[in-house]
Amino acid sequence: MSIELKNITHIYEPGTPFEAAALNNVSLEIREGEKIGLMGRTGCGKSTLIQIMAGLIKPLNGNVIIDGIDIDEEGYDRTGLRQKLGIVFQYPEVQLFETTAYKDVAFGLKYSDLTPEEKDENIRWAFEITGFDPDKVGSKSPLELSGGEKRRLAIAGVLAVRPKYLILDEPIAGLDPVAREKFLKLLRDLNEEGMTIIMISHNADAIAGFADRTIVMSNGRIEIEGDTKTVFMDRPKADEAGISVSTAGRIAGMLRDRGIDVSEDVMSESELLKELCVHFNNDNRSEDQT
Amino acid sequence: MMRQMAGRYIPGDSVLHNIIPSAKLFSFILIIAAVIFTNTVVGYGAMVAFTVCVVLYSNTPIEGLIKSIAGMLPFFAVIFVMNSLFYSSDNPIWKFWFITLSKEGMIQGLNVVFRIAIIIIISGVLTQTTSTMGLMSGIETLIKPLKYIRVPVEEVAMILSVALQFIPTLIEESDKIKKAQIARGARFESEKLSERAMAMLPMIVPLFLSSFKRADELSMAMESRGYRGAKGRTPKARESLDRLSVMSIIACAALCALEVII
Repeated sequence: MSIELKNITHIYEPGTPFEAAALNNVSLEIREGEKIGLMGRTGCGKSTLIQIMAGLIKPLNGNVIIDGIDIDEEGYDRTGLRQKLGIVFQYPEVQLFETTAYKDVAFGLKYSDLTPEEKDENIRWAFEITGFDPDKVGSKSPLELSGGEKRRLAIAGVLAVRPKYLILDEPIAGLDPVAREKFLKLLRDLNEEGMTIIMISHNADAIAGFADRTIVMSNGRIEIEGDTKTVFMDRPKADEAGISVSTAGRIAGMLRDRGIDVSEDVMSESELLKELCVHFNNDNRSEDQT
Repeated sequence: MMRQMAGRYIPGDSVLHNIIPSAKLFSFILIIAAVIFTNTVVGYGAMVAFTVCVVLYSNTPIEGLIKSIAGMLPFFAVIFVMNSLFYSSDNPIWKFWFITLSKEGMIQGLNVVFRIAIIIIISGVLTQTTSTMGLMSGIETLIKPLKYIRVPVEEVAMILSVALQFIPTLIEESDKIKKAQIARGARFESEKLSERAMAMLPMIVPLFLSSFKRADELSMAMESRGYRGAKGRTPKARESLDRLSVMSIIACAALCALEVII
């Protein structure tokens, strides 16, 4: 089971003076259970790509195949697709519209075949996993919540259908560091439960610490693709595509420059920490021996 | 994404792009007057020739104009048929109850269709060669005399220009919200009318909320940059009538005079 994009080409407003090429022959496969990071400069086609993936834009050319079925095929079950694939847009808080938080989170389940009890269970799960108490917040108006809470509520609304695939466009933009860490942990937990996650971000630290595989786009094409470490290690190519080194990677480089032996492939905070612990333990031991 | 439509501003450097907006708007009014006065064969010829010149000088893509005219064809047909059948004439070709088919009626019908077609083309060219901000400054200049009867001209112009400027933003925003709600399972594509009406709610509510928020932020941004009403504001760029603009007005006035005389 996978999302497969085959030779996707897309142009906005073709044949007009406003014509703008967005994607140029992009092919990609995303397997179930993966954690994908999608990076690239503004205007490189990331957002178009995920909207095509979710069936929100019909590409000019090419096929989107989800779980083996072409979504543009005659009679494709669109309602089923909406239950299977969730998408969190940039600043998702604008999509809140219901009178109470509970109703808003329930919106996605309107056309689902689940029984009312199952729906309620899903909704409660979505509230809890995003850090809300459904009994306290459920009856509040979404307008009463703070900015950060609104965003979490909107995400709960997408999660309520328990999608198999979850696509997020810049979900951590504008979050404070604590909220960001919490949010990335939530995504990791969801992935452990089997959810496939595709996250767009400009934040090298977040991608380095989260994604198994990273895709870097540039000018409507996939420029680099591979496991996150390889992508970040390939500095010439990454620099060209505008991908900065993660903070942990940069610190590792500085330490190496000062003669401290840290391995070259350190990308995330946890890896750096591990390396440093090994290093200090070795130091202590060598001191003990002398 | 905005659909391609005739009349959407296309930046360019044609002769028509370079006429200052107020002069262009004034010329436009003169042309409309000319169209209304047109009623001889020579007059029609002059009008068509003039329109062709305007289109050629504006570098407007012809297909767009043809498309906008083609879209109006059913409307034209109705106007023509109505005029042909209901014009009260002394020598009808065919008469039945209150319906009278007459030659005069048919001519009258063609007349109306012709005028509307010319006005559509000319106004299409106007909006295609003038940015919304340009149009606004043009309107502001033209309604300036109303200041003497205590119309708050600058405020009206500011309100109009703010409203116009936010149209693309709102289109973009509604497009984004629509997609987000579709992804959550909203059915805008639904066949059933009742479902479709209800489905508009998830789009309208967020759009309203964000518009209010935007208005709030905009007013704060304007105040923080020192806006306190139109009093004491100087125009961003003082437009002076250049030769091209004067010529445009003269040409249109001449056309208007010609149509009145013949």
